[in-house]
Amino acid sequence: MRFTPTEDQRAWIDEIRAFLAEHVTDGLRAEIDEFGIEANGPHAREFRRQLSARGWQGLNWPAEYGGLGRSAVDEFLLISELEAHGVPSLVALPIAVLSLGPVILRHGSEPNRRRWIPGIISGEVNLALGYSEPQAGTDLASLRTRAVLDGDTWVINGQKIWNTAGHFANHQWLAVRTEPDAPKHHGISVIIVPNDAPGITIHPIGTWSDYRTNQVFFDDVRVPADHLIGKRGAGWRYITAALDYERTIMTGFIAAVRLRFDALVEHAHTIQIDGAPLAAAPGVALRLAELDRDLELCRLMGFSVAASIDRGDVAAPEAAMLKVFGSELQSRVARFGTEILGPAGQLGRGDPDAPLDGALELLYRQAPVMRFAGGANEIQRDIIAQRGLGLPRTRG
Amino acid sequence: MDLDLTDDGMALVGAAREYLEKRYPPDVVRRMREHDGFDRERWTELATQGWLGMSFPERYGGGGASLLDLGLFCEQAGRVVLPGPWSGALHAGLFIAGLGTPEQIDAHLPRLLSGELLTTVAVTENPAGQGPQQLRTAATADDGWTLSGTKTLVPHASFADQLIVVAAAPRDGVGAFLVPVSAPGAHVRTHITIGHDHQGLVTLTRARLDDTALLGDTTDPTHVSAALARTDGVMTALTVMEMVGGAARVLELTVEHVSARYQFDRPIGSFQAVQHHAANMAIAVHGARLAALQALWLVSEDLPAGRELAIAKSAANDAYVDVTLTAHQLHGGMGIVRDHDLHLWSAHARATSLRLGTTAHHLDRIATHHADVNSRKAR
Repeated sequence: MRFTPTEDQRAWIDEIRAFLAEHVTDGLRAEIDEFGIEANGPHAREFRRQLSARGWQGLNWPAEYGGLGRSAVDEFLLISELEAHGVPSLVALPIAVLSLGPVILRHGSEPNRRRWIPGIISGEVNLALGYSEPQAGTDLASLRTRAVLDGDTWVINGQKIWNTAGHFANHQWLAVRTEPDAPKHHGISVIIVPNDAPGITIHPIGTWSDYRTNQVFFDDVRVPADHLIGKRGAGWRYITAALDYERTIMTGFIAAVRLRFDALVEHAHTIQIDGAPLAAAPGVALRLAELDRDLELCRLMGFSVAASIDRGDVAAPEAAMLKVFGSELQSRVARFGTEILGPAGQLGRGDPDAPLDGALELLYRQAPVMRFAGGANEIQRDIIAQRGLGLPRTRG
Repeated sequence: MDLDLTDDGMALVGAAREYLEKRYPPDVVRRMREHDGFDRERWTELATQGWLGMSFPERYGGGGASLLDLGLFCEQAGRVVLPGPWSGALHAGLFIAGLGTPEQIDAHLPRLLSGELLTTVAVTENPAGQGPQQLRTAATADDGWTLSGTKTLVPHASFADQLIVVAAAPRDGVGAFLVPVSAPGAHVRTHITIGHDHQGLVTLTRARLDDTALLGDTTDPTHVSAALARTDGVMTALTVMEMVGGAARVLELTVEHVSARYQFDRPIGSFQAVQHHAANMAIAVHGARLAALQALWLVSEDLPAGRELAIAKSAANDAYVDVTLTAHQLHGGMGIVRDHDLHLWSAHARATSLRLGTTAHHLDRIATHHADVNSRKAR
């Protein structure tokens, strides 16, 4: 048992910080400021190239594909440092590299690996997750987008929604129904579809959180049969396997909230109202202390998930606990954070009087998403109860 | 960074759990709480089996184990709501080992660790306050010492053989005095408490002690306060482990209950609302346990742990109380019946969450740290 970094881990952290000091340029910050997790301009791409050159994008990849064989705790440390330096981990570690590539390596055919892995490693292949549909969100397995084999071509019809990377990724990792007569979880396949294929229409959807997502329509989209990943009807397994890999991102995400919180605390001790700092107002200091405590609990939960993964445990209940606690904590930070700023809490980025450049105002509009996205918290609590505590499946 | 126990650690946890579950089932715990609270046979056994002295040096009859190991034992003790004067004795032992002269340690520690000399620590005077208090209990020097004052909420004072009384000493000093309970002028009355844990109100009316009674032979207030603070830190780390152990056990009992209790032709644990309560309990216990282990590890390694202790105690306070209250909700009528065991933990949760710092007290410490850090930045 050990709660402080070992010498090797200390060296790893120092190496990461030196890298970030050099490569988190003003240009990168500007792109992140403007586009958030969608940052995909020249600076973001260069940053990813630099990470990739060191093998840091593929920490969890097998060595023969350039993976470094580093532990999940090492990944937790990398992600925590990225977020603490204001670099969203999804900007640094695209989903293709983080989870879809490893799924192809583990579950895909040899032709799948030859076709896609080099492009994923080089960054030429950029994947958007094509999962949710208007009628299939939390109940994803009821998805309806159909793929029918016509000779050696898949013909795809249907639509996806919340396709967040759809407008800058060049491919879709598309979950489709290929076995309509099979039980719903067994009738799903994953097919990689180039975004420029004829028949694809992308409609932007603006969100209150300021990020852009998309609705994507597929009208008789034709794709070579060998774009199928792994086996027909086995798609649900690949989707859940990808989820397992995505857990490592979760371990360090709270560092981004910690960054905003620490700035808020400093602000509360600096800004004066009638001769006293904001932090001296009734209840403020204690409430901030409670949030500080809970941010530390969340960091420890992330560390715990990473430690479990290193022990060979998929850690689904622990990951669910982290997700629920962290997303709800983020909401509490945003809510209380904007509140203690008083009327100024309304001021958003770009307004010269906006405290902390509107960071808390933006977080308030972003925070609701994480509680329903990535596995709604109600489902996560079901997972904790059923897989963690052994309670029976709910019925009715 | 890792969360693994060594093989020895796991063996220790297994042995402690087995022993405590066997010798302290709920009916024994209830009997001890509701009656005189002291079972001489079990007490002696706890000591002679080595649990009480496990982390004290071997030369005094201890087991030479680490504080980490002791904390793991405390977690198991919390699972059974271990009754009896053990935690007061630990506190006293730490105090004697930390402050006593070599002669005093030799004279008192082995007999404390063998269970023979029941000792407890008397610090609190105003039960409304928390943290270091203004001392009104005072010692005057006159061919030995004379002590007068009142101490409240003294753990197991009713069965103690001796008390360590922290008192104001001449010339703005502070001393820790070894007071036999049988000393003329010393009187103990048992408080009525939610936990039925036999805490005592100690009144000292010109109790006469000889020179050897002054622990550490010093009334230097800085030195004595530092020793007090250090033992408080260790006791907080150990108590937090006890609390997370208790909370985890309550969660287990609740899962058992909702799995077995049928309504509407199905176990109530198959209803989503019930599952979500249980999930919230699991999250609270998980977070508090991680914080407890971190604080315990730092204290065991003799690293700075002030912030981590405040985080751990406040998290454990909230988790243990919330878990027991939610458990009452899920147990319904059956859980509120006196013959049901749930209240053993519920009372323990409230009691432990109020001593060694409430949540507000510890959050205030974190807030003060924020203010300090930011005032240093401003300079």
